[in-house]
Amino acid sequence: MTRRTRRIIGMVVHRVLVVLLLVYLLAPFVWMVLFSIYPSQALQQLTPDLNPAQLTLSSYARLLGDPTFLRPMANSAMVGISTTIVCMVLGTWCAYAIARYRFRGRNVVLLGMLTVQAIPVIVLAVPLFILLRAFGMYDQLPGLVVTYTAFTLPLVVWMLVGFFADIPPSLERAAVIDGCNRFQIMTRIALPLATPGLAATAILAFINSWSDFFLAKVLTTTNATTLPVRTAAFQGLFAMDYTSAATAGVITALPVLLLALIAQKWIIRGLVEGAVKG
Amino acid sequence: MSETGARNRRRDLRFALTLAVPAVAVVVLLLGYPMGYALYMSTYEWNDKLGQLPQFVGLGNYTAAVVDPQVQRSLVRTLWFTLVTVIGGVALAIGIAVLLNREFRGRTVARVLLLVPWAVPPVVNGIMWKLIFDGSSGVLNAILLGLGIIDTPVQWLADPTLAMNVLIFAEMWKLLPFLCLLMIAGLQNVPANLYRAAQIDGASPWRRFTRITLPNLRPTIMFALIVQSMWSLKVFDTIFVLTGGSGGPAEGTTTITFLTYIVSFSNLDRGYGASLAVIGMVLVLLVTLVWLALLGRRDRTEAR
Amino acid sequence: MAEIVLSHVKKTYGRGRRASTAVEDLTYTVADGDFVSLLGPSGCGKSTTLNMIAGLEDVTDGEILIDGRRVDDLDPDKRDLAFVFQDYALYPHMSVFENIAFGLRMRKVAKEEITQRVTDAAQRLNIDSVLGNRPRALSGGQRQRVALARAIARRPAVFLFDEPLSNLDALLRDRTRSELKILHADLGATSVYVTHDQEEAMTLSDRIAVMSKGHLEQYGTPEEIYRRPATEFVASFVGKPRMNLFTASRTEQGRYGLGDSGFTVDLAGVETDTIRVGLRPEECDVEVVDDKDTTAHGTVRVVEPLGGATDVLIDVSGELFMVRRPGFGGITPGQRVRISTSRATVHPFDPATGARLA
Repeated sequence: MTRRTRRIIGMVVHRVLVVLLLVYLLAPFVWMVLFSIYPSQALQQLTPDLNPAQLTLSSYARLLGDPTFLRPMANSAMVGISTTIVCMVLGTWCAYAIARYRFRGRNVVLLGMLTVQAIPVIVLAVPLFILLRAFGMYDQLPGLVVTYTAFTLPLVVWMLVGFFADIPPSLERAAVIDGCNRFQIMTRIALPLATPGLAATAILAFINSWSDFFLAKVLTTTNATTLPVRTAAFQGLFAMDYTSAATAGVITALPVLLLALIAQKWIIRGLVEGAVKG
Repeated sequence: MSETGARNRRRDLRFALTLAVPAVAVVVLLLGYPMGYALYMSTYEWNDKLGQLPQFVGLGNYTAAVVDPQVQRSLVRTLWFTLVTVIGGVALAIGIAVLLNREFRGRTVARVLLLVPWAVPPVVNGIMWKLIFDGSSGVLNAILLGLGIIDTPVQWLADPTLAMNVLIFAEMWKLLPFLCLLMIAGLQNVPANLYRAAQIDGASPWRRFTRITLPNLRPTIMFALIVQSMWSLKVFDTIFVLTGGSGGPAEGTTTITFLTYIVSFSNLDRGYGASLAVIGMVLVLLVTLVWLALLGRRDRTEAR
Repeated sequence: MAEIVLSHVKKTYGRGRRASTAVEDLTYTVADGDFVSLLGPSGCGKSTTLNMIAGLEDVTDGEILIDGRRVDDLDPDKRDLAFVFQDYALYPHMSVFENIAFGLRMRKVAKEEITQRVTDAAQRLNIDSVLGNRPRALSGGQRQRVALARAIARRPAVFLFDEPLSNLDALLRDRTRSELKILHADLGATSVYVTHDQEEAMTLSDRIAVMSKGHLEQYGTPEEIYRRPATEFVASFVGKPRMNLFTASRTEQGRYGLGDSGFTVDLAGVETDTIRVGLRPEECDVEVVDDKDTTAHGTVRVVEPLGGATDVLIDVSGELFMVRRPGFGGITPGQRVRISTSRATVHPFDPATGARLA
């Protein structure tokens, strides 16, 4: 076999594997989307009937018109945005201090932010349940925000330290010579330069908050319940209503999917670089 | 020592601490304190269903858990699940990373699409795979039946072993992206010249892989193993949705985490549940130590 | 009037046993309007000294005065100086105009004045056409000029430069060096310039402070440094090609010789038995002699033609001695030669301390 032939075969095999990989990555989600826009009988056969004439968005209309669905959706959005804001403010301050200043306990704090991410949520579920109830925040949106903030902060700080550390120190020294005080250096130089990283971290924080199921299930019932919890409830009615479940699934996944795709370059960099430096 | 020096240092300290304290306070109060409380709870016989006052039992919960057959089975299941997802995941991730490391048109698109499974919320992950694997109306059965591979629908989610395999399959889909990204980054850190030198020396592709790629990936691999072990242990949402909140047929997919949930929130046995949670955490620690011991610094004689 | 006085300035890092001294007891004065280079190899403390003058690092001991005022207690922005960084430190998220204007803005200079000063500085450095661009759109040479413009626009009492040319390629470096010299002639401001390139220091400075391992080796004009290096270190560091330095012992005739080669030099006023001798390659001559000639000093090892001159490396009693002779060729490796030092200045140094002996 000539070298050329071997190379061509190698190339073909490679491309085939890549295509298989892409199918593997996308097919399950695509399938769920199909389930949400086609009547279920059309899909439950070997050769699905994909006649566009059957396309319908009625499932979406139904869910989005249902207050018991809309309410959790709004809750998720509000909690997500609030958590992100709080995390970004507190996290930016903390990460900047860690990245740029030496203070006693700095290394402990950094290491701590890393290790607490390893604590399984389940350990804290019951104590948090008791704690929130004691403060009257059980089944309240602020209770969720506070909880999510606690769990998201370590990740936010960890990622932001990396992004701040990437800024060349000479820029901050130039700012000192130019007459900036400490606060101005942070706001006029560090924050603008770290903006892509900040955006990616904020998106990551939102994704984490929006996607959470376990804590929401444990810490809320009817008032502050979130979208993932409501979506999971469909599986009780499963035998009859795949379409609704699929629709709920798509609605739940779409926002974070879009956000992830928008910020993908910086998310990847933040996640992976945090790992490499660790 | 100049006064400004000391004054500056004090101002620096004040600035840094003011910035750092809020976040640290939140984390310590809302994670540290409940953590301590959980440990405290685990030393009590505390069952809200039975409604009696909690009784201090020291390590009683732990000793009971260790001999509890339900707990033992759950631990075995958890270990199995973790090992398969971690080792399988890392191995597959390396393969996919190698695949995506070669230059080809659309490579960037492929790498971006990698993010889809990562971004999908775990709950939705459960729904997606249920649509595929459901015994009566899942698409997999439809395909297999239609192709004649089977003649009666397989009850994927109704059989304990099959259910566990479905769970593994579903979780694998979700965890691959991050591991792949890690491996891709790790691969890019291998200097290209090593491969060229090896090629001139006559090494086959397989040889180049085992003698150059793998050794240079070792730190990344170790990190991936440890981190993925932690995450595999945390898996909850997918189990819940796939099994309708039950934990699987005959507890087929009840990992220690899910068992903790059932004990704490269904049976309302808070004390026992807390001890199970702590046991789960110890499990994570043990697995991490095992990885470190197996793959820790050894003689660096390979790779050149 | 911006005279800089360093008085017993000292800088140590760390505490107790792990303390290390970066700069040891520096005392000298930079006269108003002078261009002074801090010259030395990496780690000698020159950048640390510059940072202390700027206020980017604290002084562990001693004083720094600018214009008669003690400044080591002041913050950098109160010292009225401008700093040009090695990597230019241009703010990537601001336009060139904004970069130059930033320091003025922070000092609350009036808007019209800012525009005036920025355009002036930009025109002087030929970058007024890129005022609207971001730094990443500029070439290396342009970025360097933005950094200079930023310093000029501030109209400070003192300019500080931290190896500003080392990131440029050789051609650009030479050209920018000349521009810097013209700039200094125009502006006449006191400047302190850190570099490890002795050619740069020699061509640009009114005075040079040669430093090594935290100590000041010599402070003088380029001519003083070149003609009469105060220590062996200065002798070896300044001058291209590098000065020949070897250990010589006293012979019976009262001269000093290198080994048993027969090559000797005359040193009036020096009495010690063993000394270190320095001779510049371009001040020596070499003459080919017959192979059997016993007055030969050594054998030619390597011949390096440079165009207008030729460097000849001679093995003299085990040491490699270089002579630079004008012209092309005429000598080949293997030949026996005699070295003449009739027109050379002989530099004697103490073998233990490195200090100049006469």
